[in-house]
Amino acid sequence: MKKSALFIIVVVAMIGFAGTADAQNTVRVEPYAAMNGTNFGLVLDAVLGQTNNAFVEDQTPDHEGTYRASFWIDPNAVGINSWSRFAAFSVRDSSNVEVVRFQLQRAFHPLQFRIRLGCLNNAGVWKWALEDGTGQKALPIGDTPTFVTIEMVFLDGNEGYCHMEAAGRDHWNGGYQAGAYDVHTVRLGGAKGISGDVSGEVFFDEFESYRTLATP
Amino acid sequence: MRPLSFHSPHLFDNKPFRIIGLGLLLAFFASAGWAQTSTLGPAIDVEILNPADGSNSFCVAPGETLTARLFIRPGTSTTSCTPSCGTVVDGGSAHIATAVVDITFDNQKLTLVGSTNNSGTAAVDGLVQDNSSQGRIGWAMGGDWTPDADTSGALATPCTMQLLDSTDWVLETEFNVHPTASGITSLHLRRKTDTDPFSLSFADICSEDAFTEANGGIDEINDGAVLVSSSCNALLFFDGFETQTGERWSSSTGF
Repeated sequence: MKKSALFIIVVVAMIGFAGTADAQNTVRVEPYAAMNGTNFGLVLDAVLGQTNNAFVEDQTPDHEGTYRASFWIDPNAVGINSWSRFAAFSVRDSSNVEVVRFQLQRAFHPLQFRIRLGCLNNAGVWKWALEDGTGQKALPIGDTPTFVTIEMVFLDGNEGYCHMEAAGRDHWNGGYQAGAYDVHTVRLGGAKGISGDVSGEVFFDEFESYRTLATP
Repeated sequence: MRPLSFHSPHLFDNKPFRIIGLGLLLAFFASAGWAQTSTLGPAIDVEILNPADGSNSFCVAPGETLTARLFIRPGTSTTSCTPSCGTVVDGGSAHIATAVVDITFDNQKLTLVGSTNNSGTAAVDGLVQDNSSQGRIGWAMGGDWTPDADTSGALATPCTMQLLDSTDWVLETEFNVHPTASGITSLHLRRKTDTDPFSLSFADICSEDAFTEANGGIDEINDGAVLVSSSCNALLFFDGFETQTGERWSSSTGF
């Protein structure tokens, strides 16, 4: 083989390799991620083999003891292995401790997307929001735009409270000690724990947050 | 403040309004030659402002009223020229003579109920184009009329016309929020880069070209972000990504 042809092949291979190595999980705004009548939405673009977090962060909360957030999420057929999940919404307190995690996961028997909500108590134990009657912590959602509302109360005196509502279902947990924490920053997107098996795009839109519960 | 409206079927064609606006002026005062100087400077900014707090954000409950203002900050470039009417006049982005702006809104959530020019500035002669059935309201400035904003009246010469040369709001609009509305929407300043493009532009008396986003004559364009919610008093933060960026958020990683 001529040296010039070999050189070109090597260069092309190096460019190809460099392109793959540089591709990371990212977030961006696109019109096709819009939901509920808006014109644009947030895309989490997860790349196979990449584990970096990619998110938008709000630092408006100021030691909030009560916090409510709602947003639209569309799994958009994102690839996730059945044993993995990642936090699509995450709350940190003023000590940068993760105190709430909203996770997206995918089950294969039956094939469905699921979400679950965990809130940390004073002892550092995750209290998962559960469905009344079944005790299930995984809430099934369709592979379609889904409106989610998440509420949390950080109080002692067994008044800690964690609640998630989506797809016509309610999951909650309450009556625990959580006064050690508060809400300081929140993240939306690939907030935490993206394993290398996640690939594809997840959409988010219409994020709102409040200092009060929907129903006191 | 009295509401104003004017119907001009050609006002919001895709042709730069500067051609129409300056054409009106030149038709009355044909020029035999113009002397000018120029200096470069920062460009024109245009925003949708919440008069309650000066931000670009609005939170309003279903069934209530939303008041928004179109805000223009002229640039700092100055020049001068002498039109045929004989007086040296100011030009440059600091002295705006004509403007063409179009604002879109979701008329499934908002109903336009009124609009008013800022009578304290040259904007008093703004011409409002009510296309609310299409979810649009247009505003143009193309002359100093007597009576104000009455194109059947007398048109001031380029030598005597008022110019927009101070930072201020030019148009105030009032919307009723539908009682069943909810969620996030926007008051969007249409621009050339939109899927349905619009020639957002300004012009002075002296310059050959209009001030546009493409030529750097318009710098900052900020839409109004609107949240319809019954919990505005407890609101912390919202974003529907209508800015096409993550800029409303405090920070981002991987953007």
